[in-house]
Amino acid sequence: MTRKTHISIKHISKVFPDGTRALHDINLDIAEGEILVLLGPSGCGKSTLLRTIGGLEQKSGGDIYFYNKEVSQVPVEDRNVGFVFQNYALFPTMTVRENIAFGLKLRKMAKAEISRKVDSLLEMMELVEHAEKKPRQLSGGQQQRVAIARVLAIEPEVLLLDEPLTALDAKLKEYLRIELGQMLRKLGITAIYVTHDQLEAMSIADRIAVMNLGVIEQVDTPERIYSSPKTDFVADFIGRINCVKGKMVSGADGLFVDLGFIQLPAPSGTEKRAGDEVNAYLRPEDIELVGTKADNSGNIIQAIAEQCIFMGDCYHVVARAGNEEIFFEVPNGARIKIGETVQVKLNAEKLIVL
Amino acid sequence: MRRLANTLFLGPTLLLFGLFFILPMGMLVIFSFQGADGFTLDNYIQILTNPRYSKSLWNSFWLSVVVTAGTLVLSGLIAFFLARTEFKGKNLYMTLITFPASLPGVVVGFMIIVLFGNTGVVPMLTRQITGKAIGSFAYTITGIFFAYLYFMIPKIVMTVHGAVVEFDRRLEEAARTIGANELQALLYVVIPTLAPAFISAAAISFYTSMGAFGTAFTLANQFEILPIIMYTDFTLNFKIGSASAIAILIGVICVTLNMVSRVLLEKE
Amino acid sequence: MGNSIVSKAFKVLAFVLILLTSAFLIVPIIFTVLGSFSAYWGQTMFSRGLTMRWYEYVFYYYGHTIKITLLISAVTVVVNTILGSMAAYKVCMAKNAHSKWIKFFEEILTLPTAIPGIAIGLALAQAYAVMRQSGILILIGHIVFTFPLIFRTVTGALRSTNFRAVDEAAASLGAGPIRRFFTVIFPAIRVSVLSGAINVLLLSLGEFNITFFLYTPFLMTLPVGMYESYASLRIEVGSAFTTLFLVLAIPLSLLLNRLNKSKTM
Repeated sequence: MTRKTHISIKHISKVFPDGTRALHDINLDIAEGEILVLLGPSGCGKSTLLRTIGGLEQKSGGDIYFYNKEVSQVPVEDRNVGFVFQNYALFPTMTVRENIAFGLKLRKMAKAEISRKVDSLLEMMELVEHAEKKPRQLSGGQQQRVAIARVLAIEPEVLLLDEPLTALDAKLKEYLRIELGQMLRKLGITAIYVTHDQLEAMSIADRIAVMNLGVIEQVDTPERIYSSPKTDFVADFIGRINCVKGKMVSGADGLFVDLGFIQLPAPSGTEKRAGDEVNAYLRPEDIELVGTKADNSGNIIQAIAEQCIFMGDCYHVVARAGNEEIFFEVPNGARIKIGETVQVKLNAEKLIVL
Repeated sequence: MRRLANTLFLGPTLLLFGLFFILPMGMLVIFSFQGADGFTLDNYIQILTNPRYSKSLWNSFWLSVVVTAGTLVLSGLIAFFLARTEFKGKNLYMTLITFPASLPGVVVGFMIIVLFGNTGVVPMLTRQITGKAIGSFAYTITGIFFAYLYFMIPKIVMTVHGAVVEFDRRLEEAARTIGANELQALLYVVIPTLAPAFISAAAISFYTSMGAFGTAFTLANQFEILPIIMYTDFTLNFKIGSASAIAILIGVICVTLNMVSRVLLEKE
Repeated sequence: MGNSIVSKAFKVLAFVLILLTSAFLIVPIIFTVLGSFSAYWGQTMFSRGLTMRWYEYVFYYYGHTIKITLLISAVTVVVNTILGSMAAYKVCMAKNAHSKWIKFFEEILTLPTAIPGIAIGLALAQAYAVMRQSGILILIGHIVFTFPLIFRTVTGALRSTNFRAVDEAAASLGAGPIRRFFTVIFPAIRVSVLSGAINVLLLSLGEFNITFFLYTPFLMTLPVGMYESYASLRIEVGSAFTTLFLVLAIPLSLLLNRLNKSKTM
């Protein structure tokens, strides 16, 4: 499935007047109808990048293309982007209907046509009975739907969403995450979505761009971001993961990673060579408890349990192997005492070496 | 003991206000309804029917309207400028332009004499540039208008500045992204959202202008506006009844608009 | 495109207006100070050099007005600091703090700022004409008129934090109302009390509208003296007199600014 490139960002950089460098040489292509999520910790530049694409910030260098047309000189009001803000930024003095109609009125559309269009949006967003209310009379979820209806009314070329779920409480957030994802897919509109919440990113994105300190660390599908992080930052930022310092060594049948307490076969296709110092990563779900009886079949280590915390559906175990601490999960049935020696099997196929 | 403490805390204040605020104000009301033969509404009716009073009411009203309009525009501009521009010496600038709010009315009048008097700064400069002195209108209605602007602008800048600073700029950005240019965003989104603060400021400006005395008196003590007419009636014409009625009328306008402005600001 | 030209023109216009307004507010203050040292302020300012003569003149003929004003303002500040903060404490902490009576008191006590000074001045002049000669009426007028400034500042401070709980805690430990006020509450709100007191001082120093109905030729305050000098004397004298007032008012304003900033932080 190769789709036409819709938005192309080339060498974008942004330096704020006070000298802070917010974006550094950003390159990114977004396909028509794709949902791209910009994910990163606060202050990583993701919102600045989104605002630059939308025309709310001026870039310091580089180009932004919408279908091969450079848009940097196009003022924000003519860029035809639908921007959904974190707190929705609904106009407090206008009713829901007036909020949605605002962009159409500015376009001098005929009254009858405006009201027809607004009606259909109200229906689509299930807001019909709230049409005459002021924004402050609505719940968070309803406000969000008004914000989306308001930008959809102008039939934007691109939808830009800046942390649209962050202002909501946890329960509603989980529900809307699914609903919003479905809606975006149904609309088929090209969308860029900024969040710091990886669950949100995973469930909504076609692709995720992980950002840190003003640069994009990796752009990939959610699955690949999780299973094959390309940088230490991505490995560490996405999900929970064990990190152990190691060294590449060559053994009898190929390259190995020496972790001190065990040598594991190096992942196939690694560019590391014997003698390289590396960080080895393994996710907790790739470590499995195999009982306390002696068993020397492949990639099994012994570790001393240091903490065992009840989490409801499982236990979180922290154990010491050699000089390293590793953590993993064990099912409810398994009883592990602190200080006890346990045997775990490491799934070497899932090992990540960076 | 408890009762004694209560009396000690509030008692002297209530005594002071009872004797020197409520009682005199009450007497003022009574005087305003007193004619040669007892109770009368004449003192109030004449404000509307007697040309001397109706004209000064009209003058006061229009002066306050024009001053309020000018103040809102100029203070609004300065408040937005202060809220949205960062520059060196901003604190000093803010201190300087808000300082006139703490000047007494008579000094404000003098500031206008310094600017627009016969040897004022503006005539002095224009004479040097064009050879002819322009702008020596301190002692006219124009002078009074500028004088009222002089003390209203700093006061209203302080009143609306907070609201402008707290205004969520994302509302403006939201308007921009769905197709509004800067002016449209200002007109349709920013100003309506800030309307309560500005209406409240307008109320303050209007009633302060209606009740101001020292400034106008310094510049033109013959000028026919209500406060000056009231003073003349009391001191020169000894018309206690009509002076009291004017004082009560101005007082009622001021207290009412003061309440309006407070309610609006609390809504914010 | 047409819009962006309108927008640009609007911005330029706005900037010019801001510049002119700022100059309008600041320039006369500067020229007042300059003019007070000018030997002759005619078509130019310093054509005949500098002098201190106008200050000597003001001190000689109007020195007494400065003294009277300082005295009246000082007494006003002391009285209102005590009355205002105690009344505010009572209004905020009373068991029945939300009753209609307390609300009504509060409205009455803040009313003098809403009513124009001339109305209060006229009312006092008519009701207590006999007291006018002694000058005590000027002082009373100042106290009543400036009272709301400190009262409002202190009630605001008392309501911003949960002083009620603090007060009740102190009461439960056995402190009576007077001890609670002076050892627990007052130290915590002293910045607000101070800024309220400075507000009172500034207003009292410059009070004209009420005083003008109450003064006698022998008991003239500084603003009344200034008025007289503006109306009948040279502009240089007016400048010197005004500059003397500014010397009193500017430091107080700066201090007030600083206090208000430290309060919000």
